[in-house]
Amino acid sequence: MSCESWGPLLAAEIYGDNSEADHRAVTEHLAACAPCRAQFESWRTALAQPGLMPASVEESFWIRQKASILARLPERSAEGSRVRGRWLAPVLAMGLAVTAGWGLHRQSVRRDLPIAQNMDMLQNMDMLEHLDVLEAMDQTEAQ
Amino acid sequence: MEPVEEQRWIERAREGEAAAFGSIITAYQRKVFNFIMGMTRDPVVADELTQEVFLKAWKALPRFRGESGFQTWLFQIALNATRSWGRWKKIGLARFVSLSEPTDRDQDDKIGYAPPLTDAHPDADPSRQTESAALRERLSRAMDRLPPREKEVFHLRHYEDLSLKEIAQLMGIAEGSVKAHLFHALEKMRDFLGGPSHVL
Repeated sequence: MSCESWGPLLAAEIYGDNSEADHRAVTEHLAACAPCRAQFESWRTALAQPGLMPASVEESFWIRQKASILARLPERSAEGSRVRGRWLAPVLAMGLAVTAGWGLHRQSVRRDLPIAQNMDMLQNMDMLEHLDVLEAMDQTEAQ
Repeated sequence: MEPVEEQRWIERAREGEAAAFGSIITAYQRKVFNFIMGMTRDPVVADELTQEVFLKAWKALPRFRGESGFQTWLFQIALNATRSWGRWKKIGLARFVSLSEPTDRDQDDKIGYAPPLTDAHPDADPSRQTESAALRERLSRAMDRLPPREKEVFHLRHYEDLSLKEIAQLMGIAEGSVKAHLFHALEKMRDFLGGPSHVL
């Protein structure tokens, strides 16, 4: 096992999170491996620095924050669900009506489509007719 | 808070008792705020997201089955809120506009947040306090350079004292992966701050 692969176990060891077996293995490895021991010690020294201690925040901040959360809590009671129930049916009905209306509108647009396509075809046929005339004229001129 | 007492507050809050939920807020608001603050480095955002986390927890509490610990469950909400904010921020659509640099006192004052300039001990030596504030600032900047997952793991383990098992549970990854993230975080923090001869 290379030193690199000991890394995660060493990191867990710093916080005392290894299982009994892993703890024993890490202790044995640290006793035998100078680079890992140096790495482990440097972390341990660093983590004891004051900059890594929890910072303090004024008590008034927590009081204001808590009051703000409590003021924003929505009602969670049987009354609340009854009120919701009263609004739910009309809102759902309106939603269904809008959806149905939109569907009918879309269908009528689709029904119009063939007519529009027919118009295009007629226009194209007109053009073809003109083409025939033009072709006939060309043939006459050639003769 | 004792586990039995906590369970009682949770039960009462689940039934809609706001005062019981207030006790839960008191017990966890510091941890949640500190975690979000560590991730976002913006006190205004951290305050707003902390409030959102508790509001979401209140709404979701009836569905909390206790399969994981309450703290793990709460941090899961906090983690999701932070990640979601990070995604919005990345594409420039964060709901909360960061009005200032994290050290901008004016902005901090607006929400009543005192920047962490003092150690937990009020009678600490002032020069030592300044030194530790500078070190903390350097650490924060180094943490900002960590990849998101490593930053989350380091913060949850080091500052919030969550076990590796809890972190694995709330992040939805294997415990071995948490250990690997922690290892890489420790290594990078040291590298960012000047190599093995310097403190983290």
